[in-house]
Amino acid sequence: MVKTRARRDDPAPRTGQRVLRGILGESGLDAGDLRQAAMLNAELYGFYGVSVWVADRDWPRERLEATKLVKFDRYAEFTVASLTGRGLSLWATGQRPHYDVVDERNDLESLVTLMAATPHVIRDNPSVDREEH
Amino acid sequence: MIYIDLPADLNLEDDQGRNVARLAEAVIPEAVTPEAVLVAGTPRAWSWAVVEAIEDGFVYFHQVSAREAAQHGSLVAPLPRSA
Repeated sequence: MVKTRARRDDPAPRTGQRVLRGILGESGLDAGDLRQAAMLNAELYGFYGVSVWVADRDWPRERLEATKLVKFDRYAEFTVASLTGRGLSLWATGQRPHYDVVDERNDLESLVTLMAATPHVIRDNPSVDREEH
Repeated sequence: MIYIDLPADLNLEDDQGRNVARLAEAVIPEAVTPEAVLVAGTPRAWSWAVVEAIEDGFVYFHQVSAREAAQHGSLVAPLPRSA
């Protein structure tokens, strides 16, 4: 059963704000990973969305690296402008600073293709936590 | 080699701040029960995790440290059964 996703009534993030997403695999920001993420979100909430973190004054990059991204040794960094410039939107979902990158037409392939093609930088996470297994 | 019990995207959080994964993708779905401790994520980005709830085929869990995980029992998981 699809759940209703809570959307926060936050002001839209500014164009220069950083948008971060932990890298799941070996090959950088992989279209297959983005597709799987968007499909899982659709199964849960009824729309295709890719989870990201938007940095701001309360959640600067360093805090995100040490908390939400702490298990990722690398992450992709976009800007709000680079994503919205491709026609994608950022929905404030769940708890701050979580957002979903969405295609307003709810088109899976468009979302994946546009996001994968959006200019981004892969950064190492200096705060990564490598625990014993 | 990292042994992942529950493949998951640790970027995804629900409205309560919990991570979410598909139960069907667990290596041993019947072992995924509330309070169970397991390893969730991908071989490159994983965490110890405690299962909070299972609803409609989805597993809701929160990440914990190895120390917290050890408080729930042994961290040495049995090898998966062969087919």
